[in-house]
Amino acid sequence: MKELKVAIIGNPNVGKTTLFNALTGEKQHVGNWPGVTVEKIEGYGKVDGVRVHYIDLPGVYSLSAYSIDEKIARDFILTENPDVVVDIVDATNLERNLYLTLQLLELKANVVIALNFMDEVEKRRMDIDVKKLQEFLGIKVVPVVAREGKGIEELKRAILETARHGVIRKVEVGYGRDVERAILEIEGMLADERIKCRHCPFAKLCLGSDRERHWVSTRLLEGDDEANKVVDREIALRAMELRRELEKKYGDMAAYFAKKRYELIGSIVRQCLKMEEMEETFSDRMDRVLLDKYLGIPIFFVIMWLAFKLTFDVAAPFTLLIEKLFDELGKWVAGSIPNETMASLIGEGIIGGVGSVLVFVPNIFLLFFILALLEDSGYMARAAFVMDRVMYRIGLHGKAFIPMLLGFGCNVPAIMATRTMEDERDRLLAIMINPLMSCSARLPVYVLFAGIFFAGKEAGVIMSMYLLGILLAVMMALLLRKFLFQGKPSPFIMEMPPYRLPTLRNIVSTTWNRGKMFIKKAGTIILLGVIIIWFLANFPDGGIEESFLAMIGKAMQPLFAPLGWSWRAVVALLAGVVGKEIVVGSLGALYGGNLSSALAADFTRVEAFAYMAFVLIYVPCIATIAAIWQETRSIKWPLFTITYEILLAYGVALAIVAIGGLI
Amino acid sequence: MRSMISLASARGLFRITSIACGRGCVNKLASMGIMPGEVVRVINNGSGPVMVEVKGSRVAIGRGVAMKIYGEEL
Repeated sequence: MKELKVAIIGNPNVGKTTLFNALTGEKQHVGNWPGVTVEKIEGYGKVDGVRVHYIDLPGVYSLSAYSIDEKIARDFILTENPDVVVDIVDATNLERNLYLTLQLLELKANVVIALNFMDEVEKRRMDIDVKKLQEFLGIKVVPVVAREGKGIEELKRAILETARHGVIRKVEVGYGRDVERAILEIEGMLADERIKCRHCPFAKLCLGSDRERHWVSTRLLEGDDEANKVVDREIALRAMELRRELEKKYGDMAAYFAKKRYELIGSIVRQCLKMEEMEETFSDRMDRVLLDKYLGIPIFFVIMWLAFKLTFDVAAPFTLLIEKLFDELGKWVAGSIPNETMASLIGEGIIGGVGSVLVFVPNIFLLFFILALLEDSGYMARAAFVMDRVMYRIGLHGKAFIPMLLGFGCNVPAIMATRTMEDERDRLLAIMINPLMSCSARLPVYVLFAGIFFAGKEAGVIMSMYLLGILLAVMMALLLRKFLFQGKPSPFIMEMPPYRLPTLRNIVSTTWNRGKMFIKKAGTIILLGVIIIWFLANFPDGGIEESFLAMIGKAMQPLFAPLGWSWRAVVALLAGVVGKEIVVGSLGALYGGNLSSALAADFTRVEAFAYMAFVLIYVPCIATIAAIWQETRSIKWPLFTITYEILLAYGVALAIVAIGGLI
Repeated sequence: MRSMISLASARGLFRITSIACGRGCVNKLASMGIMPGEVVRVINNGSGPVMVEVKGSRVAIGRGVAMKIYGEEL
């Protein structure tokens, strides 16, 4: 048998990635496709000697394609035709989860259901008749507990069998005579070969098999804009006519189709699921407090404050240790290399530069750890809930709040997290302001400067940078809403996942996966950066005052003269475009010797504060620029972000210096 | 009596009779099981979004949308 292509799909938060890892084992290869909207995770596994190519699709509720996530998932199933689609169903929430299943079946995909969280089903004294469910749906249903790897072997066998023999029986949703007649009429039009499907990425759909025509017809009657776009105008117009007619009799067609699907699901679930009347759950009791009208927001701020305090306090001793380590290492290496230039390159340039960045590993890992904890426990969604009203006032969608929080870790995943937002303008706005959320790479700069110039008040000063970023983000959101993205945010509709006790394994692996990027960056792009800086600082002559770097810095310095910064500080900013950690690394290389006392001599307190603010605001790092470009699919938006941020940074820094001069 | 879900009291049941929030919004709500004819349980209704239990899951609905979901308290 040739290689099998198996897509994994399911509602958000049903343990998709956990199952994916269980299926692929250790050998997984994680790949991102740059450029297009595609973000799928791939991996390989083996069943009975057959190589299986697994594709993990984003979590979606339906295949209606309202958000980019849904579009990615739907397009994949339509255009890539996977051999088998594994649909992960949360067994504790059968009814809602089966909606997606039914849509997959309407697409005539070869579906296998992985019924996850079977352990919780027992705990909640529910009982699911798996055999009956399998019979009614006409597909294989395999109970699993993905977290513990239970049922995985059975699932693999079911995948193989379905790939070989297809589904057991085809299930059809009955939509009633009138609607079905309309579907037939459109199918007929689609089949008519005179009508060509121009500009159509799904061209083969319209002219293709019965199943595909049936599906497109259904979507057209539901009023799906995407479907409207891909068919000939004549058909789209006729479909609209038919829809209007039907709506006179049956009400909104979208709701009608959903109702018919849920009717079928309801009749199936009634016969397969036994459950006792639900009392108030633990989640409900938690929510009564955490989402309280008056307590909700204060509780949120206390949690945030604790998160930041933990990040800094727990990290402090480790930070000191690493700092000492690199200091000693640098000295030892420099001392044991006879060649003076080489000793300087390795000792000061590489070890000093990279070391000054790696010092912040503990902070960054803790920050990611806490963010993962908030995500996994289910609180992150509640944060969006309590902040929705505030967000709405400033013209942002409630869902934009989660990307903003993630931005404190790193803006790149944060910008990618905006994909769950349905409205394009809401999403663009959320992306534009995200770089103002102070990411962990900027933290080293604050820590360094606050330590030197604001000893004893570091925490407050560092916190003020985060608050400044938030304040500016609010301001920009208001401005952009007023002039660029007029109108109101789109409706806020979001599932609140039940609170779950986070598993340590999950948290640690998420933290490690995100945090290792930082270490990787230190070993690659930052290493390269500090070597270039060292080279520019030591050539052509040797003295830094006559170096290439000095030439560049002195040429640019007049621009920053009103802010009072020296050419060294200016050059470090330039290098920081690569990644803001590099600002610290380059300052280390540029001033040499004792960085603290050198900086103390070169900046006044006000100038130092202005410098911190400038680092917060100016130009997102290269990775963020690339992320904005990729997510907006237009060079216009990254350029816009760069421009407004530079102007804003300069303006704010100037204001700080001016006001500081008066005090 | 015809009312809006934004006015429903917490812990009560609410039967939806009509939703008037635009095509995309109606469709999105429907895919999550919130549609005319459905009875939902209101879990939380403070000053922010309204949280309802529908088909075994909990969904938060922004106040703006909640004011366009009509029906009656049971």
